[in-house]
Amino acid sequence: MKRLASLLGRLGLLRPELDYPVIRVTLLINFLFFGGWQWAIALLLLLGFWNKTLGAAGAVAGAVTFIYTVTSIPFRPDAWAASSGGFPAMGGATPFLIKDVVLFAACLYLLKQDLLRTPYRTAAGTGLLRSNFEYHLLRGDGAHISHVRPRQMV
Amino acid sequence: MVLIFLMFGHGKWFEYAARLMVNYTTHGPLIFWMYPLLGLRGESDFLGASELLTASLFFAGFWNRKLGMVAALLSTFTFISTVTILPFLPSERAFLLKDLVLLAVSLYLLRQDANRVNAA
Repeated sequence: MKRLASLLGRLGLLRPELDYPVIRVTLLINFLFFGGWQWAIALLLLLGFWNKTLGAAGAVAGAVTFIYTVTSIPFRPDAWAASSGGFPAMGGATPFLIKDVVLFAACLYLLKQDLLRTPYRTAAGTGLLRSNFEYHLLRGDGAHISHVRPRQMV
Repeated sequence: MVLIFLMFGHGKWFEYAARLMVNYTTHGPLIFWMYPLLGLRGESDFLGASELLTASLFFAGFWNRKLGMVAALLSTFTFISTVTILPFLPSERAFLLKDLVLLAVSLYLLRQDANRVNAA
């Protein structure tokens, strides 16, 4: 395992500066593709490369969008595939919409990263800026376990 | 990611998702061979099993970084396989476009866990 981890490092896959721009760009591409008013979110995310306050606003707007899409799932008549025994087998648009759980978490990751780069770092009191918050969120996506002890960042 | 792999892994054990999935996988440059080799349900069961394994390892990753690293690696392969379908897919691209973000998140988790394993 250690050899695998060091191999990944030598392949250049573990460079810390990559996550932030890559997650931003992939979210941006999705908002561009959704079209309509969500182009405004794409624009805010784009401006976030230079202006972290606008970036944070885009991340909040994105997160709100995904709360809306994910919470709409159980109210859709074809949300669960009856032929597969219903819940949790996904039907209709659910496979498409359920991925927004990760996109929501990715928006919170961006929000935290942007806030850390603005004078609004006092938002730490909300728990959003607690160390490892986004790490556990991105892993669990709803299976977030609050009793996991925060570990030292490396 | 735990939730995503659980949900998608569960669905693949049924005919409904297996039929939907083939429309995508046959266009995938990395996974087109699965349908002719394993058949409709064979392909779906294989991917379902690997996704439930990935979900379990991701969950174990809360406590064990090495297992988390393996999960992130499997997840990275999964989403490289789906994202590479994109240029060859005639329609419904939005569904796979979201996998770009899922790939980015997989790489984030891979980095987090592998760096912790390296530091341990």
